[in-house]
Amino acid sequence: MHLLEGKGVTIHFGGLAAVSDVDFYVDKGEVVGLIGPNGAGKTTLFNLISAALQPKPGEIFFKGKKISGMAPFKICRLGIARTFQTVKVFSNLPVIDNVRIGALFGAQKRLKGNVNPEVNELIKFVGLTEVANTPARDLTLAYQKRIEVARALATKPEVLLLDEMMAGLNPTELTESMELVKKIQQRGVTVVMIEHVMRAIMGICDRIIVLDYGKKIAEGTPKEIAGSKTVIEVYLGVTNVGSKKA
Amino acid sequence: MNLSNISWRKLGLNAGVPLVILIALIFVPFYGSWADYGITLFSLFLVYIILAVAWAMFTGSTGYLSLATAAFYGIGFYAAALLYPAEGALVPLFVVVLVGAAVSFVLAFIVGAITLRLKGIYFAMFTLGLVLLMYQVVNYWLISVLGIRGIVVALESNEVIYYYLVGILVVSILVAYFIKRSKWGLALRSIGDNEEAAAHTGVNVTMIKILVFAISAALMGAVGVIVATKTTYVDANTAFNPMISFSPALMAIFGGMGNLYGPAIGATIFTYIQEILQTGSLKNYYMLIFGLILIATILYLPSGMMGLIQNLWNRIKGARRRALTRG
Repeated sequence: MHLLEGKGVTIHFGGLAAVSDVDFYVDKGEVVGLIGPNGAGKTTLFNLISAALQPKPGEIFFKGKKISGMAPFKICRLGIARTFQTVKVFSNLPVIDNVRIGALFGAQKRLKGNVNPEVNELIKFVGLTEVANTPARDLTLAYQKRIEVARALATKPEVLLLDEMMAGLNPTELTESMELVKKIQQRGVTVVMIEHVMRAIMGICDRIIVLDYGKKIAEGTPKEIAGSKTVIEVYLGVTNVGSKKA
Repeated sequence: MNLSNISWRKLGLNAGVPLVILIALIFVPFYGSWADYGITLFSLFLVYIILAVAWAMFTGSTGYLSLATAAFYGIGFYAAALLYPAEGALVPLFVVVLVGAAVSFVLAFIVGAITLRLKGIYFAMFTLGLVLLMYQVVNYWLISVLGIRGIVVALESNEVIYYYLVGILVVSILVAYFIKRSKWGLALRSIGDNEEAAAHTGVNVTMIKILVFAISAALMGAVGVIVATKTTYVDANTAFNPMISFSPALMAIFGGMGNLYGPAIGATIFTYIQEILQTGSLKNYYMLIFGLILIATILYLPSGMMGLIQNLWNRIKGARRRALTRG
């Protein structure tokens, strides 16, 4: 049984199939990359998994249990947390309260005690201790993205969906971000990440899924994907790259 | 750490100031020759303070602009009209208050479940529509079904009315305080900041919104019951007056919704202005002045009077600190 699995996942926006008959799976402990050109349906697939949207038709399973059709807050409490492509922090709340909300409302059957130790630990984990009491709106994009990560981790997820966490970061921030993903994996959290930054994708993912026009066109290890003719065609729009190389 | 000092001071402010105000309020009816007018004036203060606090409880943190205040307040009026008529009360007054609150709660719960998925201006329009709908339905029922226009409610003494209002105020402040301080308060603010993110962080946004909306409606309904025993004559015009939806909202905005005192201060100041203007030679200009003050508030004091006070306080503190470090 896979940790997270989708079968024939489809959704239409008007006449457009944003995600079309996609089968996917994620196993425990993996870092799975989700790549594809703009408009390929990556974020839509995240929205389907986290229940911001419902697949029609198609089904999504988490630990063998069907989760499509559930409310987003229930999905989160089951153990699937996410971040957003366009950051959605609670901008008027300080960093610590952003994370605290995840800790207070996220995981099921939480002990009624003090969540402060774990909140502080997570803020330290993502490197925001110095700005813990600053309102989120006053922080840079890179920091806000880390708030989202800490907030998501505070819900004690088994699967973390990272939507373009590395877009718009400078090289230093990018390296830090890659380190962070590896550290998240070491915490025992399975990661699915949408990313355009190839250095990051190739560097940390165990497996990559490629979407194009809503369809899954390739799947494999970073090495396989880097050598795949279809993927190169989709990204570069030429057909003779592969043959030239050969 | 000096954490204990801070929390003691905080506790003093949190409990001490309200306690002093409460004791002062309890003694209002005993102030000699001024008492008769004083008790009426203070009752009016309390009505608007409760409405403003109840309104800010939901809208202040979630940002959902509700104009349904008059609908729930009007329900209170009709609870009094039906259960506490002049011909003879069917139940004691406190039961009527509870019924008014309960019916408002249930209606708000149902309305909330249907409409709280509406956003922004759509929600505001619907809630205002609810007031107009209630007005029409009740008017139809009175005139066409019962063949009457209004119902006379049993008159209560000024003291009884006053102490009931003090009681409801205490409940309102306590409820507002505990919601604000609890994890639900944090959840409400997260909804106000980014509802989608809140939902994906495990917050049951629909349930929290509906519950707090219904709790604030219950308080509004309770006030309506008491005011009806003061005005004694209840018809749809007085019960579902849209001004009751607007005034407390404007008062709360004027006072500032960042903390609990804001709406209370805004309501007190505006009710007093209203009282002065309406009894003096300027009575025709009340709405004009009200409007001008409001425009000025929104333009120059986005966080209201409390925001202004906070800023001034910070400046004084800053100046003192600078002076100290220089010295």
